[in-house]
Amino acid sequence: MIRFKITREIGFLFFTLFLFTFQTAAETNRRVISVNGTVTEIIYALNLENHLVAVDSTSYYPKQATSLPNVGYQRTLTTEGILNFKPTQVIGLESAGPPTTIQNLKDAGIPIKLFVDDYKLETPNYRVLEIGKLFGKEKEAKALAKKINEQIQNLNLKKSNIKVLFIYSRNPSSVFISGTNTAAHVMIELSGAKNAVTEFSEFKPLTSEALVKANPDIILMPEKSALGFGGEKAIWEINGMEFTRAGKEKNLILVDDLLLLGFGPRLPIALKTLNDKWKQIE
Amino acid sequence: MKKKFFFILSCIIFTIFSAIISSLLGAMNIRWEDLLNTDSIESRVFFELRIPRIILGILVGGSLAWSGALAQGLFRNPIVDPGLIGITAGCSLFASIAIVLGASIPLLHSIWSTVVFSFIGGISSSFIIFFFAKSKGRTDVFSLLLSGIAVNAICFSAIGILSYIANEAQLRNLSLWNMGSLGGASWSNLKSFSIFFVLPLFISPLIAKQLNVFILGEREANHLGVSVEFLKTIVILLIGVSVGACISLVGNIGFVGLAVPHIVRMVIGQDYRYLLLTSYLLGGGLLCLADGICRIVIAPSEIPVGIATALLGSPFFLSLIRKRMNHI
Repeated sequence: MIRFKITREIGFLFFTLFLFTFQTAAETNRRVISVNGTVTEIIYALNLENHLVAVDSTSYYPKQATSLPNVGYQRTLTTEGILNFKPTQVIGLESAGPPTTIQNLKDAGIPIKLFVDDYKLETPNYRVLEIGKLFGKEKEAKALAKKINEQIQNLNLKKSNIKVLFIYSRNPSSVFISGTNTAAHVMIELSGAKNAVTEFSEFKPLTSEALVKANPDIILMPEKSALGFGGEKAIWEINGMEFTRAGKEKNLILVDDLLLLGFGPRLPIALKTLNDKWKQIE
Repeated sequence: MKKKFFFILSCIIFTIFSAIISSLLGAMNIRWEDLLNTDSIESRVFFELRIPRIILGILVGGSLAWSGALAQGLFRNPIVDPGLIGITAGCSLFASIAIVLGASIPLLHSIWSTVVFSFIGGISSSFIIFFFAKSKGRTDVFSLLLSGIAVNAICFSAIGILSYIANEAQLRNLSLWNMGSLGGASWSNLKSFSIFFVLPLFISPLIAKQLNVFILGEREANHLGVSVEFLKTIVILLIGVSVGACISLVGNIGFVGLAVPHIVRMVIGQDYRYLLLTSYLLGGGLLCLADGICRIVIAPSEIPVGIATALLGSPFFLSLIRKRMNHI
């Protein structure tokens, strides 16, 4: 009887060990390609980076991600470039493309998870939980989502009447400003300020008259875009800028592109950074 | 005759060589032994992505060059390209409509419907131009050219408006489409569209002699018994169908339609019995090789194939022009 019990215990132990080994094997076989910076950031935040075999060029945070093989820019992916890594899962945003590549990958039977490009306070949590599900790490994902939630709850953001103009440009010949329905607009509003331009949605080319009419108190730009534009000096040289409060007082805030527009785990930090700046200007 | 023969033979060898080289180029490193295992990812990439892409490259490049040769014959002008009769603009406009407004137009939600819609656009614009250029049962080539310019202007203005109202993602898709890519190649695409690419090969011999006479001038061709009106109609139709299929499937690819027939003409002369087929071979080989190079220059990304065709072909084109200047 006792012997039987011991045998049963040993059997149970072996069975558990077998399951554990099987799970570990399944985990090590997981080969994930992230084709979006925010997705990569979440994967690192969940400590699942050992499953990553490649990332896209927008995945530069955390710094370790840049040492992984690169599959190019998320919107100009190539089928061979992705299949080369024999992925078992591709994760990104719906803006990933071109459509033919996405179609080819689906035809090749590669599981693809593409998140909607939405900009809400709940977006980071939703993405964290979904990625947790994909990796079978719901518990860890819930813990991270809870942490982000708490950070957002404790933000204590102060509302202000500051008018912020978001400028996006890679070169001085084509300068775009953000209207409504963009990640930048939502970030400005969520952080307690007002978007200086609400007459149109998405991005439109900047005109000098529109700039003067909008009269922003502060200019907000992603860091990389500002570099491509020619730095701070070039921004103040934009026609009409000298007639705005931002231009007169040289009010400018540059925030890292992924932190500002990523809607990832660092959303609370981004909102706090912006809100602190609004307080200073006011 | 010897020169002709050698050049045609060189073009055949070049096309075969391009196909072989292109099959070895890509982001994925494929070894021959990988191809023996039909279930391996390498083998699937090779047979389901790379081979259709090589075939499509040859067919599209060939059709564009062939259509260019026809357009140059129709206008009796060696520096026109098929785009002049509005097909490219029509295709581009309809593709832009599908990309920007597709979400709100029924049946325009897939990549495939964009291709078909664009094809319809190309054919429609060539018919409109043809209609405007026809009067009293005659097609005036000069009016054809002017109508083409007008339709091009209308189409590109409309594309400008669409670009303005497009959001960032749509704008990116538009610009990518306008730079051309063979990335969408698949066996199903080839099955559906190959008829439009292979058709020229069979029609060529039937109209080559008549085109040779047509170059002398419309009146002269008429006196020599060529049915000029019928020839013009058939040429416009063929260009429309062929270029429409190319542009709608792979987007805008410049240079091939204009320069390849011109290069061939410089080497072997005006005889359409050889010019059409040789242009097809050289255009196909050039696009196939250019696409292969595009796949590896900034691998795992790709550069648009239209850029590579111009980069590959231009030096050769320039050297021929120089040579010709020295002969004058």
